[in-house]
Amino acid sequence: MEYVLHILMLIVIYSVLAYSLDFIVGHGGLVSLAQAGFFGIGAYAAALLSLKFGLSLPTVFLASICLTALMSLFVSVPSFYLQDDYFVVVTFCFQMIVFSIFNNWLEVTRGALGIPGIPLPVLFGWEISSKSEFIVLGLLILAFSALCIWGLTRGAFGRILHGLREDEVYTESLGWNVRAVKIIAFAVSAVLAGLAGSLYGFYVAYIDPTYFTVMESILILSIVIVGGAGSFAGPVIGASVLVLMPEALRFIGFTPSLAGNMRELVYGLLLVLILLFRPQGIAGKYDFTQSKGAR
Amino acid sequence: MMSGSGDPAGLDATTLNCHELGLSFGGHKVLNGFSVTFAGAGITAVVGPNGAGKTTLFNVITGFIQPDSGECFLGDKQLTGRRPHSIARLGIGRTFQDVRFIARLSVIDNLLLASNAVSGPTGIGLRAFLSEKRIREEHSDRCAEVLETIGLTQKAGDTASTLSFGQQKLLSIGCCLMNPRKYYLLDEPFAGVHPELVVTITETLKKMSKSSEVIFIEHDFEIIEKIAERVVAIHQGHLIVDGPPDQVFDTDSVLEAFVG
Repeated sequence: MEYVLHILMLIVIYSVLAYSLDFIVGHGGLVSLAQAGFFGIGAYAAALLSLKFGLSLPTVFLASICLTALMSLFVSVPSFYLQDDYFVVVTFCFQMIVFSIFNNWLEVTRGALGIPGIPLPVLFGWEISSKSEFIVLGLLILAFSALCIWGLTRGAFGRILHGLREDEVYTESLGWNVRAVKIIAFAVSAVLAGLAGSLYGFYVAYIDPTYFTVMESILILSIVIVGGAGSFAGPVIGASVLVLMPEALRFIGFTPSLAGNMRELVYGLLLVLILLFRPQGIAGKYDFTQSKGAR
Repeated sequence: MMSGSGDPAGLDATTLNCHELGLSFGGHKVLNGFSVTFAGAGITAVVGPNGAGKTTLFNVITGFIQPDSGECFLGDKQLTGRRPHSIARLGIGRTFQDVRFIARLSVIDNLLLASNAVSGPTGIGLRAFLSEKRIREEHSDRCAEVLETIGLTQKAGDTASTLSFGQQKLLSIGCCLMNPRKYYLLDEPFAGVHPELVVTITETLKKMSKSSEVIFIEHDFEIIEKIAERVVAIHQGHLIVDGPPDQVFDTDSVLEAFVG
């Protein structure tokens, strides 16, 4: 039972991460490889603030929101000047820098040793200790994330984001401040990834930099593509598929070490198949193989 | 109508004044001390051979390209140095030579995307976060009016990519129309359009010019003579003639620029 709950918790966390990335990738057309960086910032913020300062869960979440929103400027501002592949390289660099900071700022992050003993979170007197309680908290955060994305993509802001995805020059010619739109979109995306990170930090009670590598960013992007970019159900479907798949490999009889390598192989294969035969993903609308503004 | 260059001081708020614009691409002078003034009413055609600098002039006015020298003013407000969204919000709408709209949105959603552009002082005001229902309610009358003007009422719910080329041109003009502008800069609105739709576009431009100035780039002299009240002829980045169509088309320098 504990195992099933753990898998469920991972699906919840990756669903939040996928919603956060899908907001800019699926709706805004801004492909980013920095998501694991924001995920890590949220996790380290939770670990350090609760361990060193004994802050409560709402305060930690608030601090994580502020920090990740601020850090998102390192990605959103370059997006004013760079498009497509060049911008992806910038997000990759940001990811590498954040990872290096986690790995080398020994006085704060303890580097590769990681931060153990992250205390159990307490929400208004409710100590969250069991896996099922963490799932309840996770589902609350997932519902909040899904609602945010739903609200922001259904109305005028969503239309502007779609405009940005299809034709930035045209959208700006209509009078929309595309830079402001990008700042808001990246901030929302980073904040949600940071919340997932804080939740993850409290859940595993130990974090180290290996959880927040560029491979993790690629995994989150894979979830978005497989689930279906720009769709409401896509992130949950993608997270379910890509979290459950390596577990299925385990039951096939591969050893844990082989299963790990097979996971990468199967992810790659799945992505190629999806892009070949269903480029919009399982539940998606946005076809990654079509160029911007394709008529 | 006015022509020539001048100091923006003393010009009224609707005057669009381009003064001594200069721009080079890789050593080739596209605009070469170009000056012109528009008064904010009527229909003006911009003509010139390919590469004369017509589209570049539109790009400079709307902020998509910054000139190497010279300035543009709308009334006493300097346009040069401003970002395109800010210029659009000052009241200068435009269309592009390659028809632009959001292909994956419906016709009505394209209009709504355009109509929200005037909300909020920063270009992305709180109104962008209003409920979809309220936005649709607020803009339903204007959308219906514009759809009727451009003749796409029956196509309102269709995905924009399914429209014919001429209808796509009309949609891009309709998006411009969603907001009250002082100037509409239309880059070859008639190019490649079926004769039936030429009539619709002509009527649309006439309606637009009642409260604003329509400035359009065109190569077809017949169309220009039918609807334009003023013609601005450009050649090699210079203003060569500025006046009524019959007068401009009889000018030797214009004939020379076009025929050689």
